Amino acid sequence: MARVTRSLATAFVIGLTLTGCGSATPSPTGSAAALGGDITVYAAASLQGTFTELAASFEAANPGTTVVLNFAGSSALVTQIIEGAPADVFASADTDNMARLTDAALGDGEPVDFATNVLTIAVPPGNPAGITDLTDLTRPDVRLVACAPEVPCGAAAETVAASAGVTLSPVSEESSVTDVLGKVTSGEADAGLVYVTDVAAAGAAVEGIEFAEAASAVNTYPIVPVTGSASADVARAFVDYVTGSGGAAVLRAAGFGAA
Amino acid sequence: MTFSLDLHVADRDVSLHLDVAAGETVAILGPNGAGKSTLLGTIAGLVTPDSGRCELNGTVLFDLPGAGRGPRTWRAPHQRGVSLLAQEALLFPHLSVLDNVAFGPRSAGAPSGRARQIATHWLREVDAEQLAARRPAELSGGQAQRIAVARALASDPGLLLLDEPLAALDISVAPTVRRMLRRVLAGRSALIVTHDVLDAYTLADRVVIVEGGRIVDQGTPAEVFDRPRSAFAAGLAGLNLLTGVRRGTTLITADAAAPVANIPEPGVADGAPLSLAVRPGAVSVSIDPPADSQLSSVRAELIDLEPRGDFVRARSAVLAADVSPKEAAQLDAAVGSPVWFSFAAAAATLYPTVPSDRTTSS
Amino acid sequence: MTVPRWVFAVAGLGAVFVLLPLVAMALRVNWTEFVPLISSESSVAALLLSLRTSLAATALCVVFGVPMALVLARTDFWGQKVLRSLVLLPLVLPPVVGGIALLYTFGRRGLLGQTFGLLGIEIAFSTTAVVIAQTFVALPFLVLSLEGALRTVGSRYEAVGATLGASPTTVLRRITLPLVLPAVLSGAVLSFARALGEFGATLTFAGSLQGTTRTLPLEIYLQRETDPDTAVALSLVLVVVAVVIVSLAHRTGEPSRRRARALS
Repeated sequence: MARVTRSLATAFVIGLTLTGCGSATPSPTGSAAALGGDITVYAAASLQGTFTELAASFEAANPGTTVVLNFAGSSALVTQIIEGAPADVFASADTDNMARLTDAALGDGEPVDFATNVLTIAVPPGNPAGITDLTDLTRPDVRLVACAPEVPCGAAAETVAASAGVTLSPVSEESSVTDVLGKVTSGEADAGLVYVTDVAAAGAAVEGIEFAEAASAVNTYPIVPVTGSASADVARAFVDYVTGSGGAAVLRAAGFGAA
Repeated sequence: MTFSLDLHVADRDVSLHLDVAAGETVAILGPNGAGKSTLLGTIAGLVTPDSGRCELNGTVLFDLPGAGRGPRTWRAPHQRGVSLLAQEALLFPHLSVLDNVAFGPRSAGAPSGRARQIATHWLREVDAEQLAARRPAELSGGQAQRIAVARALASDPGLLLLDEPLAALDISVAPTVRRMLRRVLAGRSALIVTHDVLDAYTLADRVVIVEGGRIVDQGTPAEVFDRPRSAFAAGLAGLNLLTGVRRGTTLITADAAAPVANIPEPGVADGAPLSLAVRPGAVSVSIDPPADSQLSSVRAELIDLEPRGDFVRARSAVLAADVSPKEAAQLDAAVGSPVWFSFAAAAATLYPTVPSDRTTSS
Repeated sequence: MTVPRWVFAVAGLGAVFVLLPLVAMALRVNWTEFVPLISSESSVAALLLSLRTSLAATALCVVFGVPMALVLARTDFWGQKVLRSLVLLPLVLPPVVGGIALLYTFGRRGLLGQTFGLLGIEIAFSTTAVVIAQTFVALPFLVLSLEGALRTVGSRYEAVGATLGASPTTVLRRITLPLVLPAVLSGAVLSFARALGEFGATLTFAGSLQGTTRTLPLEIYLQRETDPDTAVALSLVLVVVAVVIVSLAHRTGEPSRRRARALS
């Protein structure tokens, strides 16, 4: 769990409290000017970079609020929330896991799609196997690593393979994108199927090779406040912030597509 | 000569030479820490000395000339033909008695059937044939030691080493095992380390006394224990040992203040080094000088009176005497004062300190 | 000694702490679907792969561990203490770290992997990689338990054997190994259990592919994403197998303790 607070913001909050011009606790009237309180945001692991940045700027823009972030696989997060984990906002990497939350009547309002992500081919720097498109991944000398079909990135890989009319035979089907990237960065695998944003986040460790069929499996990211929040107004404000123009700019810069 | 050993351990100041003739059993006695067990370990190949040389039946067991002085030879324990029997039987717990005894022949390459034949033979020799099928855990201490003897003999060693083989046994069992050992050791080359004079008398042809890393005395058991040359051997034999030089009929001991007067005819020249051995039981103690002028006597301080069962040992720095409790009661007031120790000439043995009839190697 | 009553209370709390999670898991098992869940194709493949690789790893542990324990227990050389600590390192190392280390050794760009690659041997993503990972983490268990047993038994029987004319190999075969056999067995069982539960190093080093590298723990980890019922059912299977193994190890370990007592 990453606790994101800017010392500047904290100092500002303390300053306001001391001068009596604001309050660190939610105001009973709930007016926008007095927005304050702690929220915990459960977000898909692939949102780590963008949400860390967004949470910081949200806190700066709304003195008196604190955003605590918890990143993990969407499936694990939904399970935790259903089991009673104290989440105020849930951002999923796919609609299926969001559906599990809303089916459990834990969504406060309708989820809003705020970003999309598509698969790309990750190769080690220099692309030693000379991969240029999806069909190259079927070459017998190419060691491909993908996600297992049970997890969203694996399901997406199956979809793009089907739409391209190729059969992929990965040497390993990992449980997470991180594990796929690890195999590629270490050079064990010649290629891996991961999301565009993962390649962007990995920096120079891998190269991304886009392919046309990726469009057949667009992954949509929905976000929703969780019911029963003690700081429902802050949770709603954060969701609005992520789905607004400020959020979009940060998400686009990280490689996410518009919803 | 079948066996010879030269041993030097510099940092323990050990330097000795030992021979064992074919068929001879040699008992090694010495105070604790004299390195007796180390000596056996060295011969068996379990301990490496600084330098030395050891030969058995023409085979060099080891030849260690010392650092930088020629090539070193070291034969592994299993290639020596030397069996070591320790205080504890150390029978292999996972093997039956028969297989324990058959272990040596099997290791020498005998087929299983032949090895068991040899084992059965040796079990019979130690009167333990009926134990063949048992496990070591089912044996008494005496039984286990018998099996251990059979096992050691079954490997047909050129030299048998015994390290206090009776020490761990019950007093009631030791005599029968000792008799059995006497029977099987007859005509066999063996070295036996012991603390027990009886072992030496019963089992050994020759006794070697080791003290301070040196051989201080050796000879037949009778020679060594009747005419001891070391305080240790005298102690084992239960004898008072006085050493000094002869001045007429007086023995001047190292403690010049206590000359022994009126000694019997010693058979050595005046001024020659002389040893005198006498049993404490043959020594009397009196507050006044002995009335009988024939008695040998010495005046010395009575240090203490120590009850020992049915008699009391009266000790001085020179001599000890065993007296009756009644006599001891009379002497009680004299503790700390000089008293007279006296004995009949016939009870004492006098001999030259460097005897012509015994040498340091046989 | 008489155990003070409060010790029982604390011990009871400790036992509850260990047992309660197992009970909680058993309560979550979907018993009506239990058999179909654990007999699905992927479950059976994972279970069989786990058994196969763990057996192979155990065999390797015995082959390498027995000589290692002998060297550590019976010889004395410069740097031995350091060597022992290093050999036992996988016991305390996070398995993921072990996996990374193995990757840099046997991986395609690893220390030995490059040489193997030239010989046409690819280890990464193969069942061999799973066995290597399991052996790596399980080996210390065998070495540790056997070294202890060797020290307890001592070398006196071996010395007797040598003076009876047995060569070092004969002594090893007919005296040392029979004496420590219970420790070899219990060590092997512990190694098997550790190999069976191995996850981190396998995931990092070997990958995850049904029938090739996806062992039972990896299958549980994967199923947890989408099918918690299967994950829980398979977890229970693993727990049962582990319980059986641990009790086996206890039983085989006992004769060695009895024997050790008899010696002392």
